Amino acid sequence: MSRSIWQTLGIKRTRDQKDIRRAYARKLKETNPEDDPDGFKVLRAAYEQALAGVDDDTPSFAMVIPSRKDEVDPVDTVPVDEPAAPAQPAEPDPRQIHADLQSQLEAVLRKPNPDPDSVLAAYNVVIASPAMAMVDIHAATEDWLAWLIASRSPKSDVLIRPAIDRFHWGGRSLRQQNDRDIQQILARQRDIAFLDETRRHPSEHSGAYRVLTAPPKPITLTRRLFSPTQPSHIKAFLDTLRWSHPTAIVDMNSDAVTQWDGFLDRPHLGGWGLWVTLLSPLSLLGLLLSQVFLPEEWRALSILLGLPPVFAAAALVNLYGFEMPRRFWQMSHVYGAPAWMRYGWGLAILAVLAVAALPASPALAVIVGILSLLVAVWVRTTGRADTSTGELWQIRSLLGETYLVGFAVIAAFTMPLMSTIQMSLAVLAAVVVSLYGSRPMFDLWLSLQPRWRLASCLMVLGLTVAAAVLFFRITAGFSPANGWANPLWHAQAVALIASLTLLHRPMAPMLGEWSFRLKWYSMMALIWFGLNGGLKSLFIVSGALLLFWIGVSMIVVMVRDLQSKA
Amino acid sequence: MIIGIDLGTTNSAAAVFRDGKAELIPNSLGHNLTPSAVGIDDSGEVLVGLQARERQSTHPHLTATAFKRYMGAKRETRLGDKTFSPEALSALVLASLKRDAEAWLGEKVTEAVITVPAYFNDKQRKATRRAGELAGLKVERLLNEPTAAALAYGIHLLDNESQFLVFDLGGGTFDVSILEIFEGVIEVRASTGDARLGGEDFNDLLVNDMRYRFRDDWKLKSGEEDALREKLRAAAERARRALTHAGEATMDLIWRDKAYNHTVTTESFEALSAPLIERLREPVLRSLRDSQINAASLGEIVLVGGATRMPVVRKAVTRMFGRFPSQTVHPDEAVALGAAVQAGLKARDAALKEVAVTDVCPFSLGVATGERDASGNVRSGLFSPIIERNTTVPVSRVEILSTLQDAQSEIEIEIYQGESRYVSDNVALGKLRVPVPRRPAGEVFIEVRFTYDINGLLEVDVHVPMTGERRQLVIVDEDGPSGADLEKQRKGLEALKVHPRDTDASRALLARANRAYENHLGDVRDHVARLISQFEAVLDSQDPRLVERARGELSAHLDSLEGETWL
Repeated sequence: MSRSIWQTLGIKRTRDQKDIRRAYARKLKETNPEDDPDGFKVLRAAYEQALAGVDDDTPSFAMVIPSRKDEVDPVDTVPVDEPAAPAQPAEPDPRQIHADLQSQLEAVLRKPNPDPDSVLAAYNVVIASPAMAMVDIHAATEDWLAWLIASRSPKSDVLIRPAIDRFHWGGRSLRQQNDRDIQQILARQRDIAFLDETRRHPSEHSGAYRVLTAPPKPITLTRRLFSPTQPSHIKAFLDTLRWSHPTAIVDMNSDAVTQWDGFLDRPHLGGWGLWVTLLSPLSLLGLLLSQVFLPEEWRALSILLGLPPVFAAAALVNLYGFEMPRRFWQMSHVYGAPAWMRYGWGLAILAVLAVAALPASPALAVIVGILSLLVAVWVRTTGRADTSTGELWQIRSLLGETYLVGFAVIAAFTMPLMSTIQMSLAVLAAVVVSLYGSRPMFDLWLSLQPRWRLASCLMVLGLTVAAAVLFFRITAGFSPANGWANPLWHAQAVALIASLTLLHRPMAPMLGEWSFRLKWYSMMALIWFGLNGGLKSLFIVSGALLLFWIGVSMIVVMVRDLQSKA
Repeated sequence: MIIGIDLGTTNSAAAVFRDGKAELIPNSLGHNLTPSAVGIDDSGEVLVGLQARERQSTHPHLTATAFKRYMGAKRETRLGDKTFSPEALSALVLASLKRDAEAWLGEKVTEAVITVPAYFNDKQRKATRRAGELAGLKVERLLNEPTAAALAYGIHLLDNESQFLVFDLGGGTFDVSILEIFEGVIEVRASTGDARLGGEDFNDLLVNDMRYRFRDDWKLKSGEEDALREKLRAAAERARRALTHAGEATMDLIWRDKAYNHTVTTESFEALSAPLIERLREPVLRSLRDSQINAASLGEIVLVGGATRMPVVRKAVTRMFGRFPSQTVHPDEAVALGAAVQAGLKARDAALKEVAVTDVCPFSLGVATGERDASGNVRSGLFSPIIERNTTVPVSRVEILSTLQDAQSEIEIEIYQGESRYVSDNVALGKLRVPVPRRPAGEVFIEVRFTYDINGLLEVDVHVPMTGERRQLVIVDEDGPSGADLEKQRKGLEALKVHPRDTDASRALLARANRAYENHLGDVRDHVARLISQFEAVLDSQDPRLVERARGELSAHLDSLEGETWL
């Protein structure tokens, strides 16, 4: 098998095309494609490889554009045995006329701001020249035009449409020579059409198009307040241009593009975030005044005035708690960061779990809450959202989160205020971890040796069993006698289950349909219990179900993984 | 004995390689060409060749022609009370050629090399192969027509190094091939074409032109369409042939006992055919590009195919290359002769010991793929070629593909043929599914191996290195009949009654006379009627010598009436 190509050809290494061809011809008569197709394939491969190394002083294909300099005329280098077509023997050489016409078109395009009509006229003269009837001239002209149009854009834009029609470039057929220029022209044509469409017909991009084609104006606070959606529209438009219409970027005002790129590069409070942040002092003042001046029976309503400050706080937490660290991370550490920075939060979750299992106390509840929040920030900073698996998957994981949040809400109804805050932090952490953490964890998990994959599944399974024991011990303590007497234990159970939910996430993409179904069966069971057994039994059953399907899904993952290996 | 068969759209021919050269096999009428026409006569017997072609304008519902255009498609032609697939019709023509060859060679013929247009796809090739089997021939090779023509031309030039272009414009297909000869090797460098361009399209131009002129006179009732079209087509064909020698020609037509004529001049025909002529250029350019051979270094431009006799085509070729094309090969016979050379190669004829021929795959073969753009959206339906067009065959190529979705459990491989970037514009050949382990996108690789053999048949192998899974697909024609069906069809065709060979000449002449009767009015018509009844009286006598003489006389009379024979 490992015979060299020279052995196959039966000659010494050479760069002489004649020798190679002679050797190939000799061998071919022994190994002909008719009787020995496999032998022929080897011989042919050797022959082609040998030919590729030949010293090529004579270009084998003179039809390609002879020169990329403007001065030299393409057809000069095409050797001709029998010159003029018999039709016009006495007239001046049509090849020469054609060459002159070509240089005229190049001259027009060299001007700084050529008039589109004169470009088109010069082009039409070239196309109409009688020499175009000859295939070699035709081919050379086609290649030359492709190069000219591609390299002189946007001055040559006016020629794109007629040239595509004339040479059937739009026939979308694969070509071997000069494909890149034509691809570029076709791309340019698509981009021009897209911009045209955006300009003529109102669409989601129209506003952004107007802003980006005009000279830049400062992005002031008033502007951000009164056009709250503008930045996101401009971002969408710029992304569309960059991904789908890359040549169209040059048609935008470059200063405006730089200005907006700079603005969009930093995280900002969105339009609505700005509004609530500005309005929240006012509404707090209103809340205060209403306590003084409103009649007693209306005071309850004034609680609505407390909403803007809450929203503003959420927006600020998101901006400074999540967005800013993430940007900082992206600017400096994305590729070089050590593994513990990228995946260490997985172990941190286990640590939170261990802490949560300690004997209950108010201090511990606070610590668990704060740790959960820190883990969430960590994950949000280093992880990435799972966008690659398509929308269906995202919708499914979102439904999973809904279920988790539902569990938390049920728990909150049954607990004192203190625990609610702590538990909300845990749930916030849960949502963040599953949105941003599952993708990197999945990758990490898959990169493990099969036995470590198995081991990690077994570990989660073991923890689940342990958690189940703990959970039932806690809930067994609930009795009519002590009621909901030990809210701290209660909160701890919630934190435990939430953390476990996160821990099984890395393996969840393996489940696909399964995890989705399991979650929904649990949901239906919950609703049934909620209607029949009241809040307490609802809490117990939902926790039990959550633990149950984490366990089942781990078993399914292990079985699948073993199967795909077999 | 292996014979070479050119199964053409308009005419077919057979040839054999013996005594160191290829020879054409004449049919029962002594002609080298047999029209690709099948008819049913009034007694339900099958007619093949000239006798069927002559009846076409008088019995359009009982005659089928140009069925090669529908090879590989599901299309039934109804003749009388029987229906035929394109394969069955081709099989009848092949069987007739086989009988002629057996009569001429004096031995049984069971194997053949059959030519197909280079641009025939996998399905059409399979259908041609089936037609051969239906006719009781083992198809040793399917040979590309331009390659065959080049063999016929190049077999005499083996001592020199040369490069030449074969320009093959037949009745229904257009092929361009560029070949190189060196050291006794005939190498096809590139082969391209247009599967829907040929002499018939030039006929259609004239037909439409005349119909447009008489559009008010010819208000058709339903059912008359076929009859008028066949008459017009025959008139167009005659006019087109006349234009080869004369500056103008007349399309004469009798319709509802009224005479119509329409004059076509060389200039008006040139103007009409400009769009078709324009379509000749693209394949020429493409083959030059693909072969990396410069137009000026081509030794010869070889014209093949009946349609290249047209001055308008010759003129276009002359303009394209700036010189006159070669006249050395007979445009109608070269392909059959080349097929015979290939048959000689196949049979290891001593005269061909030092010759080797390599051909190419004229179209790209590949799979449908998708790609993910930077924003994460998947664009699917893209065509990734695995065997690029004009690769020397036989050939195997491997391409590595990877998954596009996370936890994808299966990869479906759709196989396409064509030159478009998008599979929707290419020809689907088949599909294959292979299970893969669930992993993140891009982490699972599969190897897809395409093997294209010398007959133009494709085999696809898929290997998943991660699991060792293997799948294989020989592209089988899903629409094609199975082995048992094929045998049944073959029996059915054998059961058809075919006219005995010795009466062929008389039948053909009688059919021609009947056509002449329909095509004339008044005195001439009466004269033809008299000739026909005289001839029929002689036929009844069943005296071979008398019949022979009467045939000569009638044929001379008809010649003087119509100016030229059909062939």
